[in-house]
Amino acid sequence: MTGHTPDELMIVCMAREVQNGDLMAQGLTTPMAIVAYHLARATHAPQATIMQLAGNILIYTIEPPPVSILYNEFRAMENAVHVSTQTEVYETLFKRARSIIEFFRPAQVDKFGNTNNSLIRTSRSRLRLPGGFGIPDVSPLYPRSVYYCPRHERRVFVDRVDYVGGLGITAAMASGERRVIHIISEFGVFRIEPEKGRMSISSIHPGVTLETIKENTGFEILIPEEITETKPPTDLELRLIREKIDPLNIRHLEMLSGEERTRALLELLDKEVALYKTTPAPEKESD
Amino acid sequence: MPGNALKSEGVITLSAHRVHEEAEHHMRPKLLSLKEASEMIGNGQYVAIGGLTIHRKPMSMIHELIRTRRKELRLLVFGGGPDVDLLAAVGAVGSVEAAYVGFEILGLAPNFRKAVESGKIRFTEHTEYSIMAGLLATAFEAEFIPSKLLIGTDVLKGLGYKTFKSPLTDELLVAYPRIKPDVAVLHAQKCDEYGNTQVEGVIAIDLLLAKASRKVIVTAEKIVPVEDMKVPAETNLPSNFVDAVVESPFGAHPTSCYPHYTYDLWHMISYIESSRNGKMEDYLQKYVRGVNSFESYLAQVGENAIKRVKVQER
Repeated sequence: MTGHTPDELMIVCMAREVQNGDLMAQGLTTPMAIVAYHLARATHAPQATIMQLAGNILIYTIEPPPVSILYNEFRAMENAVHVSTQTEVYETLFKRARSIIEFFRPAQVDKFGNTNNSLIRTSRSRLRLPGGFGIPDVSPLYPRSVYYCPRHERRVFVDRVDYVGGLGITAAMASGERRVIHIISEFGVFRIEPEKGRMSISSIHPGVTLETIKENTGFEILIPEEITETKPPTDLELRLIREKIDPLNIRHLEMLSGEERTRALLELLDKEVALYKTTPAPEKESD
Repeated sequence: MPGNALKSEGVITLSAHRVHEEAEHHMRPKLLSLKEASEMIGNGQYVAIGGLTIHRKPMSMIHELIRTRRKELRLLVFGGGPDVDLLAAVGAVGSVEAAYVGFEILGLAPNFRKAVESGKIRFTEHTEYSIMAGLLATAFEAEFIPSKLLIGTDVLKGLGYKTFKSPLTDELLVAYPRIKPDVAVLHAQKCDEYGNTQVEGVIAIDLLLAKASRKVIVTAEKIVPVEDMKVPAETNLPSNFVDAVVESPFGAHPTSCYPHYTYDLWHMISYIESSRNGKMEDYLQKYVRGVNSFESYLAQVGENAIKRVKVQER
């Protein structure tokens, strides 16, 4: 299987950040994250557990259910062993912060790893975004964070975020605590660590030049002496993504915006209704 | 009712026993019509809305509030979606406090966004924690919850909460003050006439909202006899916290109500397009203001659309 798409490569990079045994928390509106979680489970992290839908529903499943837009909650519930109240979600995050992995998608990220999903200021106006939800709460608690940015542009990779929602490494730089933020974009994988003090390149995706990254980043990135190329997806990874985990290509919605996304979504929805009706529900344990 | 057998034999009569004032929260029938329950929500009140983004929103009550022209509502919402946006579209809202307002995969909440950007709505951004902490403080009779979370963020600046030195460790802490809404409105799958309630699927912060709010209205897909609620592990909100119950089948449309129906993304897409193309008034006339009940709204949405989002047990 050849010819991966940018979103497939990003998903593979995201899945590789999952460690076996992790608790994988899914926030709002993140189909790429859920595809990456299922991929990690199906490959190197079979003992990772999913907390889906803003951390509410704890799922144990060997056979990943196909990723869904329309039946996200229904599929999660079919495979759930527990449903948390909101306080229980945070009790889990606080107790298990060291082994939780959660993929955030920031609207803006700066060189220190601060994130913004709240508002964009321009010289003339302000754009109100949905809000950071739980990101500002938990970002400093995770020793290991992963952000993903399908669009690597200067308006996303900014020198300073317009609004500090999620916290980057500034506090860790002062206190000396260990923290690493991995950032996966359409062009490469990057990392932010207190020791280096700002964003650096981990690897560049095949076919992408250093110039492209520099041109599309709103600040100076640290460039290592030897630049490594991102390992492309394997045949197995691609087959799992395309045939098992996300046969409807829901992942691609995150690469689109505006009317383009709406059109793609409408095409998907009818297929989803048909697929859901024909997929058998997972077998329940009987007494 | 447990007293019924004895009552019919003339052993006890309910009227002969004075009911303690507080008892009205415990075992009093609380079944109201949507209209009657909506009268518990006054102009300018601090109103909490349950559910999460496009999941299990009490939309029938939102429509009723719009039809009866509520004004200057102050909303507290954990994750807002079509609920906040529709109230924003008709100018029923003075302020919004929320950790998120949007339509998930469909993007920004169009009318809410415009109203905030133009200054018509005062918006205060919260996080999951800041809402939870405020509600917990109320529910747990604490003056505030002390925590170091959010220090260094612009969210905390916007909230304007005070910081102080911990008397135990000298560490800088935030005092998360009480949040106490006047009324909370939740949509549930099932409850009985006393208000014993079962919320399934994404619970979000609904149970805590009920515990911290002065009055609680539960709209439910189905009101069932109290005998059917005798599954303690599934009844997650007892009647003591509930003041009114309303039967409202499909009352969360176009948001979802697991396991009965999923969200109507088709409807929400056309809603967003109406707003984008300057046709919001047409939408409101066709679906909200121009109909006299939520049943009529559902009829306007149409049988086929409803059928499409219904989920049969597989």
